[in-house]
Amino acid sequence: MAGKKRLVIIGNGAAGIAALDAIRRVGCNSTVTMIDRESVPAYSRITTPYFIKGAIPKEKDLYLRSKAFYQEPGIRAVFGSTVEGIDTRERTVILDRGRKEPFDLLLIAGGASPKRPVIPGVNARDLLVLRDLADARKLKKMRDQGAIGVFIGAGLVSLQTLQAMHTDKSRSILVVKSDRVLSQTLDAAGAQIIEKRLLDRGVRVMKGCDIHHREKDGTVVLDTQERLRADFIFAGKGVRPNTDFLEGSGILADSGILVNRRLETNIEGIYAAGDAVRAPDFFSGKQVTYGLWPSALEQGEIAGKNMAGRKVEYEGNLRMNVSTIFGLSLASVGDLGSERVKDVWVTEDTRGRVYRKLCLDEEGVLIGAVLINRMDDIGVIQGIIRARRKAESLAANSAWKSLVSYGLSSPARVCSRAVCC
Amino acid sequence: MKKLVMHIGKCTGCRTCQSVCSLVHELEMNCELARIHVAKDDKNGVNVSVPCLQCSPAPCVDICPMKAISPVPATGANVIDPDKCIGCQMCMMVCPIGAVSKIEKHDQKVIIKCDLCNGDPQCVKYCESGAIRFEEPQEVADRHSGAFSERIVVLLKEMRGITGA
Repeated sequence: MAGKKRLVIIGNGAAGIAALDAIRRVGCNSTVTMIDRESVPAYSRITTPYFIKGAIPKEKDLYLRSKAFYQEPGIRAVFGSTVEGIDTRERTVILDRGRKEPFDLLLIAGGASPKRPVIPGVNARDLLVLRDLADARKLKKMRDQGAIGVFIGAGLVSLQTLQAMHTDKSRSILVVKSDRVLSQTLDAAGAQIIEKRLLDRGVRVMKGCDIHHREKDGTVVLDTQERLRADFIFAGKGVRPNTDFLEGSGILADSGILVNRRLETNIEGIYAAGDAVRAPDFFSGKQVTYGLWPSALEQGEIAGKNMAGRKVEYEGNLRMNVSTIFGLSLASVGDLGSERVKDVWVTEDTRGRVYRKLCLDEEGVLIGAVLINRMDDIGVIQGIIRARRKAESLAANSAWKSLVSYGLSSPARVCSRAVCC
Repeated sequence: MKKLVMHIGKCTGCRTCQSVCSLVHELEMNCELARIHVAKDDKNGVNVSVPCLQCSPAPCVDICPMKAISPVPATGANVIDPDKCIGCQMCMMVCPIGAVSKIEKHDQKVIIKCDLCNGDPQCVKYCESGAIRFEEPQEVADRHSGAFSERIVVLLKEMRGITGA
């Protein structure tokens, strides 16, 4: 890279920190300025439900970096600052209280915000969500008080939070608009197993309905007229990319910042990564947002390398999830049910509650998988799904090549494990 | 840095490596609890032991949301810190050879992976056929290319004999 440049990263989350790591790994010696709304070292949002539950006792155990890390030469932390705009002509980031931060290269990794449905009788502040540490602290306090919650939305964030809040004394209620849980993560059959587990553990699952309003005494009334006693309402209805501050900047965004395969926006030298972007999908190449930790890390790394002067392209956003809901492991990767899926291989063992489905396209290429309660080979399956696409570029890296060749030279291994066991 | 290197073709699929691995780590002879896995495909006569390659940079290390997996400088092994691990299974999801597994220990689910036995891998010691060795990958490659060039020299000599050039 010719000369020192001013590198600025907005967002100290997954994508931001992955970009910072990539920039340093490449050996770029420019100073990187990290801007974030929160004033704590980077942490993973995946871990916040564990913190609520008490499985991670102290908040500082969540930190992925020490406070001293941000004092290291080559890093400048501007924490506790809100970004109000970006002047793409003057190339400055406009911060609150009129401060400005000039840049040569910029990465926008400002993440997303939870969607907050409007519910009559509930003001926005009382509606609980889980995004940052402040939310987690609030929920943890509620849990310790034994509060009973109504959870709306049945995605992974909602279920993980429910799981953390649920105790035998304070049984949670799950309100799902659609006819099943985890509609974005699992197929219908897999979702049924999880739903059964929720019911077994005493969770009240109400499908096909929504909250109508909340009365003054706190009673939650559903649109089916059913009345529920609850102490709080939690919204797990997905996230919305943070793009408001881009208004008037000229950076194109349409429910997510639009980026090309190098994760560069329409303006040269301005990159974007993580939950804030709509990046090309692994299969279709269409601009998508999945809001996943692995995607954010991968995108951050690609953007970081490009900022450090490398020319790297993103293979595409591959949806992958892994979680444990009340002791049941579940994982899903790739395409589970679009028109691209032409063949499915299913193994079921209802007694052991094992359910495994592999999805293949018309050429027999593995493109997706749902695994419940037996998922030791999820990594291999994920590798095979990925390798079909990028076998050529992998050949350049010998370690990866041998990794993948294990899977590819012996697909029988994976398939026999997947289908017979 | 030395790694576990597989000499494919020598593996007989006896699963001794798995038994020894589970014995030294879990004090139990149970292949399911091993940190190394033998892939067997009897129809095609394929036996291959699949050890962790201790990648660097490694997908499991990079993805961990608790930074619970980190390389040990002395051995080069990427080792899980059980006190930090929360069992989220992200590492399992991204390892393309399936070198990270989840086992049940005292009714608790634990994530395990190869730690190279602190630099003295027991699977290597007990592998009867010499299929798993603890070597510098570069040396193995050099040895192979060395052997190849020796054979090429023989071949060239033979060809000179034939063509008389």
